[in-house]
Amino acid sequence: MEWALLKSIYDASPDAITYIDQSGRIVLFNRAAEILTGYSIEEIRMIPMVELYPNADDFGRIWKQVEAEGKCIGVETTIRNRSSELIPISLSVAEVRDEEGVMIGTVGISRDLRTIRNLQNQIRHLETAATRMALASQTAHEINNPLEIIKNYVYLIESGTADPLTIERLGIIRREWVRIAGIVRSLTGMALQPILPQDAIDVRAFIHDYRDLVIPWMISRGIDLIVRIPESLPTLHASVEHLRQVFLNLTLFVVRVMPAGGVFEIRVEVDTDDLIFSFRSGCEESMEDPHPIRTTHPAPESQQEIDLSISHGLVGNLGGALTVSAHSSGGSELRIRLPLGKGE
Amino acid sequence: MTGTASEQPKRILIIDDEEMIRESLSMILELNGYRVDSTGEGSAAIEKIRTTAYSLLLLDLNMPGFSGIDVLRELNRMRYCVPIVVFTGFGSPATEQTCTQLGASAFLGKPVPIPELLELVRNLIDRSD
Repeated sequence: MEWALLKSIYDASPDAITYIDQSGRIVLFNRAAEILTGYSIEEIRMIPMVELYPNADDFGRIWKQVEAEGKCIGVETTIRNRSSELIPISLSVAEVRDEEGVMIGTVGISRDLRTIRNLQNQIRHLETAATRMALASQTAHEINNPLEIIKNYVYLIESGTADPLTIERLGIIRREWVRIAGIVRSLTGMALQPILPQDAIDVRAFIHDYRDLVIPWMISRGIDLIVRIPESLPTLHASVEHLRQVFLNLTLFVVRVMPAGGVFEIRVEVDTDDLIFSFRSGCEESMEDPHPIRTTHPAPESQQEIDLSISHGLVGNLGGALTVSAHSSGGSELRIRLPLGKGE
Repeated sequence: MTGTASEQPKRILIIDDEEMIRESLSMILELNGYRVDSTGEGSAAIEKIRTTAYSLLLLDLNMPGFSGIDVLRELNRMRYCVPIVVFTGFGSPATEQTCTQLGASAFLGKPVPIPELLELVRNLIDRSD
């Protein structure tokens, strides 16, 4: 029974599981390990283990730690697969001992980090773009509003005078503000985003795809993802790529503020012409601090602010609004209200 | 010119949080025969719109609290069908698209040339009459 259970876990695991006996022979190498490395068990037995690690120092460090402490947990390193592709992994290794305590081998579990790395890269790209956009927006606002005032008063003075010299001098001021406005436009133009395509989004399918994408990540962080969607939802007309960015950004935010794990719930509701997405986060431990996001180890304020600021910008570009509040059951709630858009 | 004939002057509401923009634009529009109200807050604008018949709204987007987008969204809910000219210090194509979808008749970037603004205002009011 025990063996059958272990065999089921071994076969079904999305993580690569390897067992090496004391002589260094690979005894077990599950399907996920074959997919990760590109080698079958017969092939991998012919390759010295160190060759899988492009950084020999990493390999040595991991085995030294296992020898000294009997295990190493979640060490991030890189392996080279059969196609010479470098794959970032999280590796845990532990000694296996028999009933008398004699070491008989080691078991290793490797998790492919490529999806997470891709998500992190996407978020980094978003952060850069959103920061540039926010800076451009603020600069343009700060310069164009005073220019608007100057221009209006020039017009008013012009309207009330017939003096040619005054009119000539006002003309110079007008020429200069047109020049400044042009400079501001060209400086901020680079930060402008293109008009977003309008996709007809099946929200249920979108959420299911999103869940499939992030659930391994959530599980690895000890976060239970709960999704509540009504049976029937109207079509949302918006940029699906942009909406995906919003979801990924908020997911990153939630993961950051729930380092001890907990429950992350997504609800979808319809309110007249709008769709409302609620992202609720919470954890077991209560906090007296009425910070909008509960967490046992809060992320730095500045990082939370950046995350929220990016999300605000992204949601705003979709024509919606993002609000943050504490909810009655504890934890916090990020609420996105999006107009259903044309066609509804 | 619209608003300068013997008929009642057309009434315009300016919504912008910059006091000097409200003041200067009011004077310019009044000089051109319009009757002008103004407010610096989105929520106060909604109250004015509920109680006063305007021929056109000039709406700034970037306001603290109840923003221009919030005003547009609320007017959209109210099925308000008076022309709305949005003007902003910084408008991306995506923002312009959103405003148009929410019912804005025109979208202008500050600083707006006055002759262009006056012509737009006149045309929009004429068309909606």
